[in-house]
Amino acid sequence: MSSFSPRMSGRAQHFTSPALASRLDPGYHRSAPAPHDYMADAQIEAQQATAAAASPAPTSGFLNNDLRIGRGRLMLLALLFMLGYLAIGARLVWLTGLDGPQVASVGQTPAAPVHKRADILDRNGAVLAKTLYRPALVAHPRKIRDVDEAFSAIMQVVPDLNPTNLLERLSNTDRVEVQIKRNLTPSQVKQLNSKGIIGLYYPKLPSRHYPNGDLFSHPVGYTDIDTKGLAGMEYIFEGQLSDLAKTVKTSLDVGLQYIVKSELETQMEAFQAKRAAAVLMDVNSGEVLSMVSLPSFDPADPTASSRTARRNSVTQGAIELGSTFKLFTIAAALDRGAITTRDTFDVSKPLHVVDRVINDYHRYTGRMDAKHILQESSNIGAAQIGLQLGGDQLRSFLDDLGMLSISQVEVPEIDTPQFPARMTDVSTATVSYGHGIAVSPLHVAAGVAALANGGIRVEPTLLKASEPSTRPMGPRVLSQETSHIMLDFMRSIVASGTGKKARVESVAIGGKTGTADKYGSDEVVSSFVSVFPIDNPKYVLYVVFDEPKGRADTFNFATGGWVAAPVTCRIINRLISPLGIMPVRNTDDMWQMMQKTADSQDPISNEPASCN
Amino acid sequence: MFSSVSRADDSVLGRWWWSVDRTTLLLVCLLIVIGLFMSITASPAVTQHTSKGMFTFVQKHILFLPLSIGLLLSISVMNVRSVRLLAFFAMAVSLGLLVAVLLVGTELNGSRRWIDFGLFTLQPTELAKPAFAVVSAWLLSRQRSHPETRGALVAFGLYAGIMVLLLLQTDLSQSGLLTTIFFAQLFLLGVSLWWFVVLIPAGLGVAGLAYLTVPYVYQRVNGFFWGGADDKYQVVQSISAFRNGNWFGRGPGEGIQKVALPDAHTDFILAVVGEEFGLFACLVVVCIMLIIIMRGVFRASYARSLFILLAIGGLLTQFGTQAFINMSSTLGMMIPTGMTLPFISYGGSSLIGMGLTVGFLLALSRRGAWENDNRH
Repeated sequence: MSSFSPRMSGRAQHFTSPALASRLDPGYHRSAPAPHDYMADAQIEAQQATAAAASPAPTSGFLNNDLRIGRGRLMLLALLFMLGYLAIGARLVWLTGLDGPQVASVGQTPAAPVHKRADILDRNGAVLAKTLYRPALVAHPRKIRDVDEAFSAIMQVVPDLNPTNLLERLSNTDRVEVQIKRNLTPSQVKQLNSKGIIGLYYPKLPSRHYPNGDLFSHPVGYTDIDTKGLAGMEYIFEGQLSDLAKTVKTSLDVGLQYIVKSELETQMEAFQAKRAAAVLMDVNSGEVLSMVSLPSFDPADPTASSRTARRNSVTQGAIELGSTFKLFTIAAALDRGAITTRDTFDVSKPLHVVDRVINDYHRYTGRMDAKHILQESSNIGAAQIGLQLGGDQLRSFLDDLGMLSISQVEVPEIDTPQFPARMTDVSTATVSYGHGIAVSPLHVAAGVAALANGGIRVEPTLLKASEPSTRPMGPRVLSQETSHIMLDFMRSIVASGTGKKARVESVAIGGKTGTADKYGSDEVVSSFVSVFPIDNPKYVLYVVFDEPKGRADTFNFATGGWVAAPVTCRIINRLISPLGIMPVRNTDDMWQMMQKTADSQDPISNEPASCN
Repeated sequence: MFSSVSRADDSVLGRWWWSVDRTTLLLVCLLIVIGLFMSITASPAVTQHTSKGMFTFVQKHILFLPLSIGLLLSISVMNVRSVRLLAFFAMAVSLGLLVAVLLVGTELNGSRRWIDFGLFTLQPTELAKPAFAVVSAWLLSRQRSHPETRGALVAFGLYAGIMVLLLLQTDLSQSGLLTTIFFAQLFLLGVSLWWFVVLIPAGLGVAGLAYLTVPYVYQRVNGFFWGGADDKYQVVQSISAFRNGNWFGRGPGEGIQKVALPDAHTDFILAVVGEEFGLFACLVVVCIMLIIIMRGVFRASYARSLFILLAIGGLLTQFGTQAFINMSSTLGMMIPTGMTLPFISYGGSSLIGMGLTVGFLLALSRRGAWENDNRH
């Protein structure tokens, strides 16, 4: 640096010698510089010629001090710039040349979906949800020449638009692009296009379609306008459907779902229930064949329905489900050896537990064994069995059945089961007949499936099993023997107990009614859980009605036996053939024979099975 | 054509040709050509988002180019005295305009920094920068030759005045640049380095204050250091444009990324160069800028007048810092600010301002320029 400046200035002297300067610049003399300037220049030139060019010394002696400092600092400034620009060069090389073009596509905003969102299929391959590309009407307000012309043309072809809103959008030049309407028909596009309006576009946008309407709204769910999953399996399988573009094969069945839903709807209307839910599950694999929650909603336009309609009553709504729990209490007591089938319990008077009095709907006389406690659905009897078993034992049995943990089913709409933190005598007694514990209907169905399949816990799933399973896979939670006893009990409930109205003409079923008082109101939750065919259990069906109202023809009863049992009968009747269940030829004889063996306290009924 | 100009030619043009820094002149011409080409390829990418015609920015660029080149050439012919007079004049005009901006300024892209003259809008700051570099150089050099004039004090007053006007429009990047010019000149003047120990932290303190009080500064700084992809959208887009271009670029007009790049024609023009012409073209641009600076330093280093040394130093600082800030923010090395890339970015005010800057630079760096400066 120090050698740079003098050498350069040395060269410069050739041009700045007084003689040359005066020749080059005629104004030189006119501006009358001081004579000694000439001398200085001449001297410098002479000195430069003789002194070593590399030495900085000669110049400094002749320059004024300010210039000398200035030059030095100018070099520092130059160095600073050189370093700065070198850094830019290095960054350029590193960024562009060496770091490579790996993120080359960032700029194509907004990122177009790479894959088309995959379909959701039922167990037989029928489409439950599909993405279709349909033209939308999009306007670029800045390109529209005549807003009025565009406005009237659009209104003519798509008359259902809001005129003020449309006009506002078309004249909003702040925005590059405004969307006017989605899902145009081809003829609408043709009509609009033929009007030749500049600034209107018809990009094909994806939209999600549900060919079965509201049949599968709850389990399948729905997406937002950009086909991003928001609820149900659409939400859970977002990654698989949109990123991998891989179809989801569900365990659901369009035909079965239709039967279950239509029967449920009819009964819900007949009893003016607020809500209703039904789930049909394979007792061995846990596959859910049908999942219905009413009221339903249109998955293509979910916001048109209320939030409560969008609740999935099968997986959500941890509610007290009542007497159905007696099945679990008695199964636990039998399995853990707390009682035998021959033990009897006094059901003749209300049971006092600490400060609580436990009552039955009817007053019975004498003592009852476990089977009759179930047949008559005696709270007093169930509570005694529960207390004999002990709260912790009951709780651990329910836990083994999966009743106390969050369901792993493939929808996001799930609730946490609620149960007493400590099993006091009171809570043990109430949990024994299904109060003071709140789980989803799906939990109950899975629990009953375990009672029915020989004692193996099942995990409910909405995905189709890769291979049909005849044997349940999972941890054993009760013995085969207890399972057999429970099937026999369930059969007797339908044969001559509270579940008589569930008697199906041509297939032997077992089940249990449930009627739970809703806390703080006179309303009830009425349900019926059934297992069929009872001699070789394959399916469990659980039907729940929230706040059904009694009718004249049911003597104002709205219990599980009156509301849920008949619809169970009707549903199973219609399921026999699609499920391929071999019907029993001897219809009513079968039930009468069972009734006799059931040794009911009730008089033998001869009424035929007619699903009333 | 120029080679036919004899060294003995005594005409104004002849003297100009043999004394002017022809290398710098050539390099600036090159920048102008690159700028013209880049405006052609960047304009459609920007105008497609607006109702403007596809080549609006090309048309405007071409409109301003002769003005800029004319200014550049005619100033470069001037002698030192005329340059100084012109600088004073430009300083006065731009001070007036800076005040006018506050009263009748037009808002553009969210800030009020332009004056609408009907045919075009002008950003007075662009004129103020070169004018200030020359005027302040003269005032500071007067301090040395005639201390009784208190030139340094006047220069500081001028600096403070412009700063107030710039800060009133909350134009922090330009006031930062002005400060850099002034500090560089003080540095060249030989001010004790201890002053900078005080001044630089003070400057940083002001920047910190701006960060805390001016919302847009706060947002930009936070976005740059801690923000996600949305906060530094421009930088992310710009960097992927460079990557897209790789070594040799995608070819003229073949850029994809530029469409997603806001201000592709102004602040982020280098990213378009990178995407379409590749790394080597970018390095050529960087080299041109650096060579122009080094040529200026080289010429200034044997100026025999403190005024010329300070003026060239100030002008180079303006040119070099502006280009540096533009390029480094395009490359994501620095918070993006509204700095243009000399002669390549679109912008009428910027072109005219640069014409002025380089015109002054060429005039003052002419061989023997100091000799007809009768004030020394």
